[in-house]
Amino acid sequence: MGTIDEMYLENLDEWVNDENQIVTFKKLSLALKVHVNKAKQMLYSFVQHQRNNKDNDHLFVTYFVAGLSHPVVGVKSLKCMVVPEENIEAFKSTLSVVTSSHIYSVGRSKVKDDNKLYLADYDSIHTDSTTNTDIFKFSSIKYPKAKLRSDAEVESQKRYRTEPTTSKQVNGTSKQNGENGHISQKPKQNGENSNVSQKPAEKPQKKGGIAGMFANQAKKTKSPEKDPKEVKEEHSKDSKMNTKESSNNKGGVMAFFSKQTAKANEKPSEPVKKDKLVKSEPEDKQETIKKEPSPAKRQVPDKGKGKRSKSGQDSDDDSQKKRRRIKAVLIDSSSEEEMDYESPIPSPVREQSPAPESPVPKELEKESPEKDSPEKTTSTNIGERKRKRRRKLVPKTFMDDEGYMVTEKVWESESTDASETEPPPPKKPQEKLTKQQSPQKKKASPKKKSPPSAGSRKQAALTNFFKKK
Amino acid sequence: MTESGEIQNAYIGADIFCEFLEVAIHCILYTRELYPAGVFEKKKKFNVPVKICVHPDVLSYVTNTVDSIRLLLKENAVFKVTVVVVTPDHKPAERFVFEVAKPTQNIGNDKYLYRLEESLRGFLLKLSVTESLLKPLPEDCTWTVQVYTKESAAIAIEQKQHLKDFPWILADERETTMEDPKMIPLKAVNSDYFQMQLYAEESSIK
Repeated sequence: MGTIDEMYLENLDEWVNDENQIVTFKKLSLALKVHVNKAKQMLYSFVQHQRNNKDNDHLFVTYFVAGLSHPVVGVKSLKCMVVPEENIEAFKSTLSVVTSSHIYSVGRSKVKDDNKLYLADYDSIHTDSTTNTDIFKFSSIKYPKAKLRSDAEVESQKRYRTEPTTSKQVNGTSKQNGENGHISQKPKQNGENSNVSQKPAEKPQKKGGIAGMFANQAKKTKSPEKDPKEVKEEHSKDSKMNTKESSNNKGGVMAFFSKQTAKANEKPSEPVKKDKLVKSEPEDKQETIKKEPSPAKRQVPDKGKGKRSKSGQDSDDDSQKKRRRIKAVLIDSSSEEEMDYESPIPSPVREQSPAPESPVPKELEKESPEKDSPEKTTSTNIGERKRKRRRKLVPKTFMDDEGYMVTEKVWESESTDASETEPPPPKKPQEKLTKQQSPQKKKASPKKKSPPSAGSRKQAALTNFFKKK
Repeated sequence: MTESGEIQNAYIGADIFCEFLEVAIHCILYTRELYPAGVFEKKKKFNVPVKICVHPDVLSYVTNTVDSIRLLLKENAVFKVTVVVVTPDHKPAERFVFEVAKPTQNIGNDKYLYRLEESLRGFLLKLSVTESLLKPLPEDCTWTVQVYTKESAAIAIEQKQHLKDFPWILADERETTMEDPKMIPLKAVNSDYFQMQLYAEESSIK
């Protein structure tokens, strides 16, 4: 035993003087595996030894003093303070009864604030609590009725703590037990919750937070356009969330899907993406994958419709439509002609204008005459030779499924050269486009009626040629 | 790791180092009593209380300094960062040198950066106990931050920083050379993201 007693002096000497550490009694008890009271005595004797025998006056010592204060308004309070050596007497005088007074720490540097003291033994105290049982083995604050929690209880606690709202309550109660508690809530003589026990609690809290964030977003971005069934399924699954990693992976996959559909239509895809991020079960993944392409498909016709409506709107808008058509017609013409009317529009416009036209013919036929009308008006407005793109009802003969030859009239776009300047065009440009559209519509209907007369096909073609305006 | 992984690591290392540097500068200001203790407020970093100066000019100065250092670090152009305490005669009285280098090894076992955080805490602790090792400072000292970097990077950063209205200038010789210095090693760390060494240099003339 004598050797152990001597060794601690050497250890302390090394730590304090050579390594310039601040040694608290807690740190010493953990390092030397002795009871805290013994550690306090060690520190005291070390200080005495240093000061008396070695003339080392550079030690800075702090004391822990606790006691009952003088009654203030008839109330006595228990005060605990860590004070530097100089202030110890002054503080003791403020107390009526001093219940405890012992050394807290020894170091070479002056301790101006508590940061240093807290930092000094932080690492040694906050080592893994499940394996390091020394801290309560050597502590003198004990509560005999407190029992160690079994592993099952710890697991249930962890799951309970995943919900962030209730975790605060749990932490609050654990703080009360903290002074006397055992492993699951790490005890500290100051009664604070240790960081280690909070670390596993923080992780599920954080995960709960992240998952909760997704759940909140899913609820917020719920749009009326989406299937109500899908949304309901999502919310019921929110509560069943378990593993977050799988949901993260699915989030990546879903995000990939949603990116592709996002271009088509943003609003429906966003809630789709966010709702799906929350999923955890694999069955749901397949369901969602099935559902994901279906909204995608739905969106394609939407896209077409959207474009068509836009083009319909543009037909009312003179200038834009005119410009696009003019440029399209211009570039199509192989002949060199004077282009002095419009500033050159970049070529992508030309590429775009054929593109919207191609899906359009597949759909409704109503709007096609409207399209043709501005085309014709613009071409006639200028009154010069240029290529025209027109839609014409053309009879087509082909083989049916059942093997019969079928002849059908089909609208086809056809580009022809403008033959000459016609007398009607110079008058018409001054009229409004809407007026011109109505005569066009009227002519369109006779157009439809004329083809059935198969006998006079050629003549119909020629007359159509002259009629168009 | 692939190149992009290395670059990512470098960025992460730069960010972590800059976070730590900001706190360390405040810690130095506090422990060396360069500003009165009243302007420092206790805040939390790396799970421990640290003292941060709340004066807006000081705060913005430190933040801008650290931001510029971050830019340089991302280009891997920083050798060391020094916080120099200068006497009223414009002579450096003491220096806290943070030497930074690229990581040598890639162990990858510090996934959640617990160990790195622990070592950075140790750095902060060491900084706060340095005053026992150093002689007291004369009155009315001022301080500055100097960065040792490559010339190309310095020119590049000058152009960038002019936009942010925070110009860096070439340090004077008299503020960089120390008379009769004594070196006190403090701490070193070698992690997956960066290597860092902290030591203090003290001039015998104070």
